[in-house]
Amino acid sequence: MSGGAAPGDRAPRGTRPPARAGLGSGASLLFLLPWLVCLALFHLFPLAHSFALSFTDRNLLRAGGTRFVGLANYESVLGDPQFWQAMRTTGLFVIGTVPVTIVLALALALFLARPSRAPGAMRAIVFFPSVVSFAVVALVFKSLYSPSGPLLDALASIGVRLPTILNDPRLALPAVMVMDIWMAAGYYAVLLLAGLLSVPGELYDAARLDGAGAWQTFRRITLPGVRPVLLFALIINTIRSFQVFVEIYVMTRGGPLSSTMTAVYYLYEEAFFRFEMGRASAASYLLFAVILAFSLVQIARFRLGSPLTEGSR
Amino acid sequence: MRILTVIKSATIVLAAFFALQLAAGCARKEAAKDAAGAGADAPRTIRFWQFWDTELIAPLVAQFEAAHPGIDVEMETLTWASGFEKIVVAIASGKAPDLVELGSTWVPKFAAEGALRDLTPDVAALRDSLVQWESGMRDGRVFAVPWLVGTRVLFVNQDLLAAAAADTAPPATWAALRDASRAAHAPAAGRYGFGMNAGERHVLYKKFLPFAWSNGGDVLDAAGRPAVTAPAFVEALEYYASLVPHSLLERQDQLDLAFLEGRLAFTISGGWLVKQLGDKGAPFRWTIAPLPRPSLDAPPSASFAGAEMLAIPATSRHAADALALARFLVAGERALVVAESERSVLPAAHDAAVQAYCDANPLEAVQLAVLRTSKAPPAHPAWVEMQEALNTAIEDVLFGKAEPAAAMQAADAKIAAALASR
Repeated sequence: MSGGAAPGDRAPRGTRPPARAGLGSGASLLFLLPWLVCLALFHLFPLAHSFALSFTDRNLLRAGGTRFVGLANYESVLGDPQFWQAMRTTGLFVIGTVPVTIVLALALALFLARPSRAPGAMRAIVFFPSVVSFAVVALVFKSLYSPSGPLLDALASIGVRLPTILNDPRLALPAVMVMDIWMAAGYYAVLLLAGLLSVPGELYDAARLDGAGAWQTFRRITLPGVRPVLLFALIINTIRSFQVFVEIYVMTRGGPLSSTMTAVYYLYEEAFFRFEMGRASAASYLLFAVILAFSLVQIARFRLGSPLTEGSR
Repeated sequence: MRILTVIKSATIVLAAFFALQLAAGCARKEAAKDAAGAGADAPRTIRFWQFWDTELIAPLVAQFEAAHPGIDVEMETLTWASGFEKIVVAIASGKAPDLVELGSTWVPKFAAEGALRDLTPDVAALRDSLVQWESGMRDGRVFAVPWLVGTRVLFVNQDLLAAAAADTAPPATWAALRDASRAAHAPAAGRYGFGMNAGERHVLYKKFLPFAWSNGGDVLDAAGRPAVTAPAFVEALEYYASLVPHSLLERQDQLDLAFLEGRLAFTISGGWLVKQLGDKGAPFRWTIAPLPRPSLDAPPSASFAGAEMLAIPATSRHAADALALARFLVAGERALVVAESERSVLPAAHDAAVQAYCDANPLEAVQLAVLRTSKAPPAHPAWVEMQEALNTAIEDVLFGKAEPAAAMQAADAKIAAALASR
C-alpha cells in the first residue's frame, strides 16, 4: 500500500528518490536475510518442531520409534497434579513480581527523570543489575541467602533467627521473587525513563498554569504519556515472569517441597531428566497458551481509554 | 506483489540452505565410508567423552595410544554442569562417542532404552577384578564397566563435640548419633548437630536409604515388589525424622560449607569433602567414620555407593577399540592416578596397588572399608520415578507434612505405579 505504491508523494522531499526506489524489495530482502535465516532456523523451525513433538511419544534416549500419540501428552500433562502445582507456583510468582517490579520501576524512573536529583551515573547504577547474567546474580543471591551468608547474620543481630531461607518452603519462593524484582526493576525503570522524557514539556507547563497539583499532573499527563512504554514493560515482564527458570535452576531446583517448582522448571525436568520430549513440548504449549491469553488481555485493557496514545498515532 | 517476492526469495534461500546441508551430509557420509574401507593400516579414531581434568586423563590416553598404534583417541572433557545433557543429545541425534563416562544412577535408564551396548560377553574376564558392577547391570546383563567408585561417610567435627561436652568418638549407633547431635545443637549460637539434606530433588534418597538398608529395609523386595511400607523401612524413617530437631536442614552444598566452617557436628558427605577439608586446612579436629548402625549387635551399616562407569553407546562402530580403552583405564594403577589427584573417588579395581594406597592413607582406608558394605539403589529403568516418589515422601516427613508410615504408603503406591508402567 505505502512506499512503492505512491512514490510521487515522497519524491519532492528527498534529493535522491530514484536511488531509494532502486533499492527495491530485492535489496532490502538481502539486508534482512541474515536475520530471516536466523529467525527461520533458530525460532520458527524449533517452534514448529516442538509443536509437532507435542503429539508424539518422542524420548531422547530411545533411538527411533517415535510414534504419533494424538492428544495423549496434553491429557497426561493436564492430569498431572505436579503440573497444576507448577502452574499455581508460576501464577504466584507472576502476581508477586510483576506489579511490584512495574511500580518500583515507575518510581525509579520518576526519580531519575529529574537530572537535578539523579545524575547520569545514577541511571547507570540502576540499570546495572540487568547487564549481569541471570546465573551470576542468582549465585550471588544464593550466597546472600545461605545459612552462613550475611543476610541471616544481619537478621540474627536484630533478633530474628532463621536457620535457612532458601530451604524454608514458605520463604524460598518469596526469596527468589525478591531477587527477580531487584534484577528487573532497573531495566524497566530505564525503559520507562525514556517514555517519561518523551512526554512534551509544554504539557507540564500548561498543567502548572492551570493550577494542577502533583497527583493530577501525574494522573492526567505522566501516566497517559508513558502508557505505551508501560504496556510494553508490563507485557514483557509478565511473559518473563511466566518463564522464570534460571533463578530456580541455580538457587533451588524446584525445592523444598516443590515450593519453587515453576512451569518451565517442570518442563525442563520432563525434557532433560526424564527425556520425555513429547510431554515437555505439550507442557510448553500449554504454558504458551496461558501467556498468550494474558498478553491479549493486557493489551486489550491498556489500549482502551488511552487518549494520548490514540492521538499520537 | 512484494509479499510474493519475499516468500519466493525466502523459499529459494531456504532451499539452497537445505541443499547445502544435504550435500555436506553426503560428503561426510562418503568420507566416513572411505575411512571405514581404508583397511587396518590407517589408524582408527575413537571418540572418548569423560568428565575429569584433561591434564589428568590425557597422559593416560597417550599411554594407551602408544600401546595401541592402530588406534587414535579423540578425547573430549565434559563439564559436570552440562555434560550429561550433551551426552543425551548426542545419543538422541546418533552422534554419540565410542566410549563415554556415565554416573551409575544413569546407566539403567540408558540401558533400558537400548542406548548402550551389551558388554556381558566382553567383560567376563574383568568381573572379579572390579567392584560395583550392579549399578551397570540390567536383567543380568552388563552395560557399563565400573571405573571409579565413591561412597558416603559420616564426617565428625570433634572440636565442636568436645565444646558441647559430648563424646568425641564417632557415634557407632543411631542412638549415639542422636544424643551427640542433641548435645551439639545450638542454633542460636550458629552451631548445629546433624547436617540433614533437604530441599533438593533427586538427592535425599542417597542420604536416607543407608539408614533403611542398615535396618534391613529396601526399596524393592526380592521379588521386585515395592517394600517401603515394611516395618524396617518405616522404622528407619522414624529414626531419621527424630534427628530433625537437632539438625540443620539444607542442601548438600550448604551442608558441606557449614561443616567446612566448623558449624556442623555431623554430616554425611562424600570424598569431595575430604579433599576440601584437606585443601582448606580446616582449623578444627575432624574425622570420618562409617555411618552408625541401628544397634551394636546389628551388622555393619550399608552406605550409598556411586560409581563413574564407562559405557559404549549402541551406535559405536569401534566397540572393540573402545572396550580396549575402557579396560586400559579401569586398571588399578591408572584409576589410582585419578583417585590420588581428586581424592573424591577410589578405583573400582581392587588390586594390590589400590590396597597399598589405602594402607598408606587412613582416610581412604575408612572409605574403602565403607565401600565394602555399601549398596547401590536398584538398577531399574523406572528408578528416576521411584526415587522421586521416595524423595517426596521423605521431604514430607522432614517438613512435618506427613507421618512416616503414611508417607511411605503414598510412596509405595507411586513406586507400584512406576513399576507397572514398565
